[in-house]
Amino acid sequence: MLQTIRNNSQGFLAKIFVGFVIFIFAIFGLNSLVTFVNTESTVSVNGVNIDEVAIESEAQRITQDLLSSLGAQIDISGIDTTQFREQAINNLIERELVLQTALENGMLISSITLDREIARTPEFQVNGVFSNQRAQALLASFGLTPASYRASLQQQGLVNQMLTAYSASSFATPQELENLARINEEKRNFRYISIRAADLAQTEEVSEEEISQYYDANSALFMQTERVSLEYLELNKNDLLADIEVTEEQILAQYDIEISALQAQTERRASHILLQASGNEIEEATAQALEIKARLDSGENFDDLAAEFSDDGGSAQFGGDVGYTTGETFAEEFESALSQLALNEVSEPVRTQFGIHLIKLTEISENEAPSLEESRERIVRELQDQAVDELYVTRAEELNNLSFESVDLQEPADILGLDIQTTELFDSAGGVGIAAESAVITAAFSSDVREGLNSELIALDDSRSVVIRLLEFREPESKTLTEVRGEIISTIKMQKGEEQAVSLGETFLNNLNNDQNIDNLLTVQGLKWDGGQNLSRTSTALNPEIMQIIFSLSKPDSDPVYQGQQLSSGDYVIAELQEVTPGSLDEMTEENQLALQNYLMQMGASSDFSAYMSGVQLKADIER
Amino acid sequence: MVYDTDEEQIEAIKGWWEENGTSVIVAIILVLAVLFGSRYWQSSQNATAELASDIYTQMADSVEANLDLDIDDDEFNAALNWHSELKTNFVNTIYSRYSALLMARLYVQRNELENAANELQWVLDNPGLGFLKSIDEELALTARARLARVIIAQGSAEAALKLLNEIDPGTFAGIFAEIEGDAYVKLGRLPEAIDAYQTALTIGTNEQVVQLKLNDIRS
Repeated sequence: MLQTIRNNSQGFLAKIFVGFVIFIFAIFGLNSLVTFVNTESTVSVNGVNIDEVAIESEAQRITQDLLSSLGAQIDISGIDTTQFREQAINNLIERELVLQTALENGMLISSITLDREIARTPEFQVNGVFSNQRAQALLASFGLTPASYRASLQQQGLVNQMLTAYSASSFATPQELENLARINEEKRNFRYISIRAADLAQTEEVSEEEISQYYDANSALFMQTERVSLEYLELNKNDLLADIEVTEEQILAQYDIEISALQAQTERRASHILLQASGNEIEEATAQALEIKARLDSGENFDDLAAEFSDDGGSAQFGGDVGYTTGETFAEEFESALSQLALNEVSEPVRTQFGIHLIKLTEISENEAPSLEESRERIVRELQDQAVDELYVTRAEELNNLSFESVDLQEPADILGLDIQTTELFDSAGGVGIAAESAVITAAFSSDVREGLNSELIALDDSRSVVIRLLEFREPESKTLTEVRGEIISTIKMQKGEEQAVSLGETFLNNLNNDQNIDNLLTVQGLKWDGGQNLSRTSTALNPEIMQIIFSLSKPDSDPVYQGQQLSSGDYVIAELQEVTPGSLDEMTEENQLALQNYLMQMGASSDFSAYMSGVQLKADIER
Repeated sequence: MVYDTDEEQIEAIKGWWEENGTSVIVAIILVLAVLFGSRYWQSSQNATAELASDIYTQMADSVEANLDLDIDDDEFNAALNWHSELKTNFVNTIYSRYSALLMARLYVQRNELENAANELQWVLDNPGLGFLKSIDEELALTARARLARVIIAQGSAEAALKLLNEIDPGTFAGIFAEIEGDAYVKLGRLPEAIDAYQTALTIGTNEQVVQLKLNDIRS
């Protein structure tokens, strides 16, 4: 609701009616409209029930808003909107409260206004003129009647009137504007020294005694959290390869399949000489065909003979050419004979329903079939892969079942011929090997495994899966001094560095406050002043912590003021504030003045309306 | 009662009617009169509200559309006309109160602080609405807070503090606190200003702006 009021920059009627379709969705939801049933929820405001369907569609709207604000065009149907339910209920309660308050205050949207705005709604117009028919049809398609649509417009209009009463009447007094301009546009000149604790830490020495003291005093810091070690069975596709045998028959069968698939793709071009014949003419035609074949064999030209003898008028003049086939264009006998021919070879007489053909293969596409030997290696590999995949799935199921039924890993290991392997101890951050896999870590610390059961099958990737079992559980325990020695040394060094930084910084600060020059001291330490000129509060050029120090200093009269402070990093910063120039409205561009005014107005409207609604809500009887 | 014949029954009804007929008719007429009367009253109330609503809508649209630093005279005069119409003829509707809030904004923007204060004071002095004089308490608190801000701008921080301290701020506590902070700054009473701003921050009112103002007086 507050968002609404902030964005309220258009006339309210424009807002109601421009988004006609969106509005319908927002109030009633798309899915609900088709079969609109009033389903009561458990939420009510002063006895008025909030519709369950409205809650759902509001939750969807929130989801959609969120997604589009993330710049994602995702289909929301797959997203669980229940997590936005609370927010949806809050929104609807607030809307209902605004509405009830408006009615209580005697507010109304006039029927003339409603009529006018309905007539103006572009969705209801045909060629720019309001069409009653179209309006009724459109409303009906959303499951609305004109009366229910008017009622919802009335409601939305009232809500907007209430919001506008606050958003449009909010103001910023000239004094408030001037004051904020003074603060926000203030510019400060300053410089600062940053004493880095980490640099000082490097030269610090740490004694054995300090280490052991620190260890004793901070034993709580050096606790090893609970750890486990595992035994496990690993199923690996690579290991299964050895179990796969590919027989010669399998290879041949696969080769045949591939070859016929390849042949199916082979394109042939045929020519023929047709001797039309049926019944008792066949014998004669066959004899004639044999004669022609003999002439061809003796070197005569196929094209000439086709022109002379062929009864296929369409092809005879073109060398008998009938075009291309991949095996299905011509009669079966024809195709069969054609597929047996070598290039430019002519067949023996072939009988089809049309008569007797002499067929010549004139072209064949280059798809030459690879030989069995060329393909063997690849086929073996593919058959193996396929078999391994199947075997892997079977074994994985077997392993899963056996582990479930067994009290330990020994039995499944024996049956499946796997070795029981073990991991080192690791904590919930994980370890090495399979203990680095997040699925394994989760399972290792699950209650089932902690109680000593075999885990379910855990897939590590496409080719590996494991079943784990607790080998050893270690309660949280103290780490030994040897384990944490390095850590302690660097901690103590850093502590000393920080102390050193503070002590150095305080010395400098003291000198500065006593008007003593510290340039020589700085040089010795390899430190220097960094500066900032005319930086405003909102500048992001510097570490925000340093900016905060600078802007928390009070304005210097004539001499600079100093402030020393340790940062969260442990570094020590000395700041010298030299000059403060207050901001003013006059120095701002008109654009920025306007932005400042609108910002203050929006903030004012937002806090006023939020206080208003809190007050109304406090008095209301809300059940949820 | 059991009647021996139809005649006896008719006689009994006639007797009852002679005795009670007049009061029955009077009762029916009264009921009808109240029914129609209240309907008429309601519809005339609605007609009034509809007229006021339309005037207010025009005014609010016009004011809201203005996002400039200045309000020109034409816009201002139009708003003033709408507001006088609502204040004169529809003083019993909430729309006249809303239009007063809008006018206050326009006056502030034109730096006519006294006029702005008068409008807000009027809302504050006339909280009752309609026949039952029902009161929108939060609207009154809004007007009070805004009036206090205008009074500070007029240079009377003391008066503003007095106005704010007269009543229980309810859910407007954070808003009141921020304004009190502004008033204390004007009066040079910085420790009290710091307290007030911190109260506003604790409640979570207008945090960004209040934090800035707090940082400013702390330094």
